[in-house]
Parts: sequence; C-alpha cells; structure tokens
Amino acid sequence: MMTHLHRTIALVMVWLCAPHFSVAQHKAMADTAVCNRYIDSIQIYMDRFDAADSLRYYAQKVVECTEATHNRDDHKDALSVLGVTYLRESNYPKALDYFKQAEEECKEINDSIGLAKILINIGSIYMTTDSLQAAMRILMRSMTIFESLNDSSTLLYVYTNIGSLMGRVGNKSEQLAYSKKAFDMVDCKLNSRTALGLGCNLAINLSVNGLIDSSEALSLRVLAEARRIDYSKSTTQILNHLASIAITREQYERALTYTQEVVSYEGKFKHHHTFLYCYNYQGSALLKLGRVSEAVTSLEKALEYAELDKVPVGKERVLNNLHQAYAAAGKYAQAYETLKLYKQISDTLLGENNFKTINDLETKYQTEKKEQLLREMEQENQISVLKVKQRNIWIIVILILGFATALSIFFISRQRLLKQQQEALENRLLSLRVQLNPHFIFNALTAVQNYMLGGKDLREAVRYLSNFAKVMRAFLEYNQEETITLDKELHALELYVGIQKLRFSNGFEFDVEMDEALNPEEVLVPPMILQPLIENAIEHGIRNMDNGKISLNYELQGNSLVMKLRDNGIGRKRAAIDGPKVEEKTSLATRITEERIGLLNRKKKGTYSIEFADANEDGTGTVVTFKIPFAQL
Amino acid sequence: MKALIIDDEQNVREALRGLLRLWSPETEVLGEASNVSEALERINSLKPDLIFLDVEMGDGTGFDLLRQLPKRDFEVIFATAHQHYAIEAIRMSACDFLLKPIDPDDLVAAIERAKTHWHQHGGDPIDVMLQHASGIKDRIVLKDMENIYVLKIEDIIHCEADGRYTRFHVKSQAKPILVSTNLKEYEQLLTPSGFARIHHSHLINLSHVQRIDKVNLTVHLSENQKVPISVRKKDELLKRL
Repeated sequence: MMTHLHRTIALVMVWLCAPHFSVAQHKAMADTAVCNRYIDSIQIYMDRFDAADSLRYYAQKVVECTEATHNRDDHKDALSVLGVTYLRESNYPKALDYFKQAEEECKEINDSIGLAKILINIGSIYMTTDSLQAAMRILMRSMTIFESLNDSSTLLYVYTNIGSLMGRVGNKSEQLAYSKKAFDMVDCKLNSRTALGLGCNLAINLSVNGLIDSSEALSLRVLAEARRIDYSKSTTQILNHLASIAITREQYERALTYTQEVVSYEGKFKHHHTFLYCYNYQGSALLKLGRVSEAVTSLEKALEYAELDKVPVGKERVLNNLHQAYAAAGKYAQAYETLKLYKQISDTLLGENNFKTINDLETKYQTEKKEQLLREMEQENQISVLKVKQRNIWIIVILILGFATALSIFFISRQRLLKQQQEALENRLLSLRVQLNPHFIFNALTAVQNYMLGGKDLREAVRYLSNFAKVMRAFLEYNQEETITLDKELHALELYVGIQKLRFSNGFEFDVEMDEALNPEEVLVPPMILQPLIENAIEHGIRNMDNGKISLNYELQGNSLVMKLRDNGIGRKRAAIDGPKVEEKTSLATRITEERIGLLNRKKKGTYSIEFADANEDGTGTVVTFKIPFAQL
Repeated sequence: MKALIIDDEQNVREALRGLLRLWSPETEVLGEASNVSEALERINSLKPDLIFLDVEMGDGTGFDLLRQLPKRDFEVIFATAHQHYAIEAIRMSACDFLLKPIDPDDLVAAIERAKTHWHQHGGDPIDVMLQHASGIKDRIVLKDMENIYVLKIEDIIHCEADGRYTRFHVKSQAKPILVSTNLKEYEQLLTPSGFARIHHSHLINLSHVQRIDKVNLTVHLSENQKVPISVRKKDELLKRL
C-alpha cells in the first residue's frame, strides 16, 4: 500500500510560478496603450484556471505587440504566460518551448528574478515529464538565486518543488522537510490560494511519510477552505488525495464520494492530470467493491486522460488497475494485453530512473506476483490461442479449397481456350481442304453442256457427267476426313485428272508409281493435298503442250512417306514470265498447300515438309517433294 | 451479227456454237480463237461485229486482248466461269457478261442488247472497263434505250430506285438518266466510291451532301436535291460522315 501512495504523490505537486508584469510606462503611443490593455486582461485571467483560452489569446497578443514595441520585459513575461497556459493543459513540449524563449530573454536583459521564476517552471516541467536529474539541477540554480535575494514569496515555490523532487527520488524525509519549510513560510490559516496549494502539497507529503492521520486532518482543512473561496484547483487536488487515503483505509464508498465530486468539475477546466487520478481512484475503489464493469469504464476513462497527459507514471498506474479489472470481468485477452503494456511501461520507468533505489522488497514481491499473474494469463491466452488455431485450420482448409477451385477453373478455361484454338486450327485446315477451283467446276459443267448440245456422242456425255459427279462426291466426302487411305486418294485424283484430260483436247499422260512396301489400302494421307499442285501442273505447266506428262511417285523413307509430283511442263521460271496472272494463280495453289503443311506441322510437331525444284537443268519441268509422317490403318 | 468466239477451252467454244445454232441462228460464227494472239489475228482478218470473250485465258486475259486493239468496232460479250474481281470492271462499263455454263435466255438477251447498241458505241465503255481493270475507277458507263453515257462518278448526285429501274441524278443535267438495272447493282458498284444507301430507294453520293435535317430526316444535296433518310440508316450515315 505504501508503494501505491508513494507513486501517487510523486506527480501531484507541481508549483507554478506566475509572472508579474512590470507594465513599463511607455510614452503615450497608441500600440503601447493597446498592449497595456491586453496586459490588464492577462492579470484578470491569470488566476482563473478555467479560462486558459482567453489567457492564451491575450498572452499571444502581448507577445506580438511587445515584439513590435521592443518592450522586452513584458515580452518575456508574456512568453512565460503562454508557457503557463500550455502547462495547465499538460502540453509540456510547447510549454517548455515558451519557457525557454522567456529564459533567453531574461538572460539577455539580465533579469535574474525573472530567470529564477522561469527556472522554477522549467523545473516543474522536467519533474512532470520524469526528467528528474535535469529538474533537480534547474531547481537548485533557482533556489540559489532566490536565497541570495532573500525573496521568501518565491522561495516557497522552490522549496515545494524540491521537496516533491526529493520524494520522487525516494528521499521521503527530505521531501517532508522541504514541504514543511514551504508551508511554514505562509501562515497556517490557509487564507490564500498559495497557502492552499502548499497545504495540499504538505498533506500529500505527510501521507508519503506514513503520517496518514495528520495528512487527512490537513487535507480536510484545505478542502473546506478551498471550497469556501471556490478554488477548483486545490479542491479537486485535495479531493483526489482524500480519495487515495480512503482507499488506503479501505473506505471505498467514501473514496467514491470524493472522486464523484472531482468528476463534477470535468469540463469546467482542462487538467488531464487531475482527472486521470480521479478516475483511477474511482476505478480502483469500484473494483474493490466488485462493481467490475463500472470499474472498467472508469479506468478506461482514466487511460484516456493518461494518453492526453502523456506522463508515463500516470499511465502505468492506470494500466496496473485496468488489467486487474479486465481479468475480473473475464476479458482475458484484453487483460493480457493490458498487463503486457503495463510491464513494458513499468520496466521502462525503472530503467529510466535507475538512480532510484530499487531495494524495495515490496516492489520486488509485487513484481513477482505480477509475473506469476502474467504466466497464468499467458496460459489462459494459450487456450484461446488454441481455439483460434482450430478456427484458423478451418479457415486454411477453406482457403485451400478455394485456391484449388480457382486453379481448376483456370486450368479448365485454359483447356477450353486450347481446345478453341485447336478447333480454329481444324476449321482453317478444313477450309483449306475445300479448295476445288471454281473454274474447274464451271468449265467441266460447260463441257457437259457441250456434250448435251450434240458436240460428242451421248454415251461419252453420260460417262463424263457421272465422272464429274464422282469427283465432286470424293471431294465433298474426303474433305470431312482428317486422313484417307491412299487408294481412295489415288482414285479421286485419277477421276479428277480424267475430267481435266477431257477438258483439254491435246491430252496428257498421268501415271502413278508406288513403293512395293506400301499397301495403298492401309497407308493414310491427308486428303487431296496434292490436288491443287496437280491442277497447277496441268493448267499452267503442260496445258498447251502436246506430250505433257505428270507423274506421281510414293516412296517409304524411314518413318516418312515421300510423295514426288513431277511434270515436264514449262517450268517455274517460264510460268512466272508468262504473266502476273499465271504467277498469281500458281503461287496461290502453292501458298494454300504450304499453309496446310504449316498447320499440320503445328498439330504434329514439324514432321511435314514441302519442297519445290526444277525437274531439268534447263529450268523446264517442276518437282514438288512432300514429306509426311508415315501412317497406316 | 457476225461473231468470233474467243476461249481457251474447246468444250466452251463448241458449247457456245451449239447454243447459238439452236437459239440465235441469225448470229453467224465467223471463227474461233483459243488465246490472245490468235484472237488478235482473227479479229483483224475476220472483222467480226461481235466477240464472245473469255476473261481468263492461258496466255493472258480478255482485257489484255482489248488493250491491244485501239480501234474496237465490235460489240463485246464476256463469258466467265465464275464471279470475281474482273467482273466489277465489266459491270462498271455496262458491258454484258455471261456465266458458264451459259444460260440460253441470257445469251439471247445479250445479243439483242448488242444489236441495239451496235451503231452507237464509240469505244468509251471499253476504255472505262480497262481503266477499272487497271485500278482507275473514276468513271461509270450507263446505258438506256437510246444512249450510252460515260459519267464521272463524282458528278452523280444521287440514284433513285424506280421499280426495277434506277434513275440517276447527275450534276448539270436537268433530266435524270433512267437505267434498266436495279438500285442494288449500283449500290454494290458505287459504295466503294463514297456512296451510301440511306433509304430503300435512295443511294447518295456523300461528297454532294450539303446538310442533314435531323428533324425531318432529309438530306439536302447539291443542286437543291432533297432525299429522305430512313430512320434505321440515320446513325449509319452520320457515322460515315
């Protein structure tokens, strides 16, 4: 319990030193007059704890106008006031910034009293923010100045703060001595705000030194007087202290009454520090009374103020109570987190203030207890972690299933795409196969017409027509197949060539040679692949010759079926010379065939090839060599 | 009429002879030719007033033959195995062409038309055809019962369907030209030259558009010509403009 109180008090007492404006008498300048009006306003608002905004506004104005009028004395005072306004709101960095500016001003104008006063304020900030060594150094400097000046009115602030600082470093008797020294410097009638402040301070220091009864007695006096003169700062401060004493005495209901009264000041002025402790005591009392959920609410509020106050010691205290409250409420995860946070801050504070004596067995004991609690909580947490793990396993299973589904959808759609590409390939192949030249068809039909008109005998006419029908049928039928047997292919080609022979009166020879190893009834070939080239050979190679000859040779070479189409026509060069029309048609047939070969290669990986060459050295005749993979039924 | 048959397939030549013998006995066949060079020689020696000309032959095209004949005092009827790009040039010049195997009725009609125009043609339609075949497509030939018109395509303002006939409104010509071919034919021929079918009975030359009245769905063309737009074609027209 002692530790509890000791920690509480350490932060409570910080004395501020109010600047006194000298109100220098300037020549009757308009801006000086305005400036003075602002200074008057400052003096009105200075003691009003609840008018920080107005005070800051006027202080700002004075800073501006004194800068313009080079009134450095008032300027440093205004800076100092600004520092005070921020200090009252626990905005320590900003407060320190203004006090430092004021300190520089004092040094430049050799104002030692002003400097000493500002040093008190800076020291108090260092105390609040736990920079204890710096605070001690500053306060000692300030004390030296004031003792030499024998300025008792200011000296009491210094003594108070030094006392408080002694308490912080664990020197309780020095702490009490300093605060008593300060309290004795004012009269014991508690009839001024300063006296009330010092009374508060002394009351706190008494309890730190175990003199709880004296402390309580003094506190009650301070409370009564503060209420009488309506001094909210001392009222709330002493109520907080009384609440802490009540808790020490296990009078929790009473503690609640005190804190409730402090809560009623909430919103009337901004002093995070006060409300931090108020809610902390309230929460702690509620917890002891078993009103757990209310305790949690209060402590969470206290934590909010602790965050605003930015002083780690206050936060540490709140966290210490809060984790217990969470645990009592069964919120183990939150309790665990809060406890961890508490340990973290607590360790940091111990580390920072390493010059503090840490031989307090009780502290050690408390720490051990905390650690044990931490372990227990860790166990509880592990249980819930296990539960979470179990849930996580389910989530993972679902994720894996989802991923697998997505993957399979991807593969299925890819498969579909490949299939579509394959189909497109097939379609293109099919379209290339249906390449029976319309000229051939219509000219053949004209030949039939001619027979009918009586140019030839009827028997030949009928045979010609049915042969033409056979060619058409073969083309239509075989074009649906991917491969046909060689005998079917040859039959269709022979019918085709037969029709072509009849179209041209000069006639030509067409013969087929076959490797003995090949059985035409079983060998498979792509249908009509040679037809466009045979047509080329007939219509552009040998058409106007009397002894035209086309020969077709099938040979088995390893795993390949090699087809050679040879003609004794005019040759490729001559065909090209004969005119662009002829060349265009020739190359069309060649291109179609090459494209078909290319597509077949894409399907069956480079096993098809086609080559063109002259048959004879003089450039006449053409040989086309096809190579396709040998396949049999 | 005295005709020469030019085709590289004997069957076709014989078939044409047979057709003429049966359906147009008054047409006298002076002879045959199976390629361009033979044809040149026969035309010069036989002086036919009608030739039946195959579009594609072994040693060249029918156009090649005509290019080598500066003086063309004969009618031409083309015969071809199937529709292809060469036919467009023939259609542009309003020459007759027959598809093989030849329909006797088409043959007779073509011969009748050849007779009608026999004394009037000046060779210009063939020039138009040859220019088209070599890629110069700025003129078109129209034929009515009395006249052959060779027009610059850019001078045609719009074409109007009149049953199976087409009425051509031409720049600086007060009287439209009525041609016995349907609008569909000219839509096909003229769309590549910047014409648009904006109504079931109107084909307009887009370069003659002055203003589009979107409210009354009317296109105002050169020479104060006004043509209705069908609702369905409006957006298409605006897009093309």
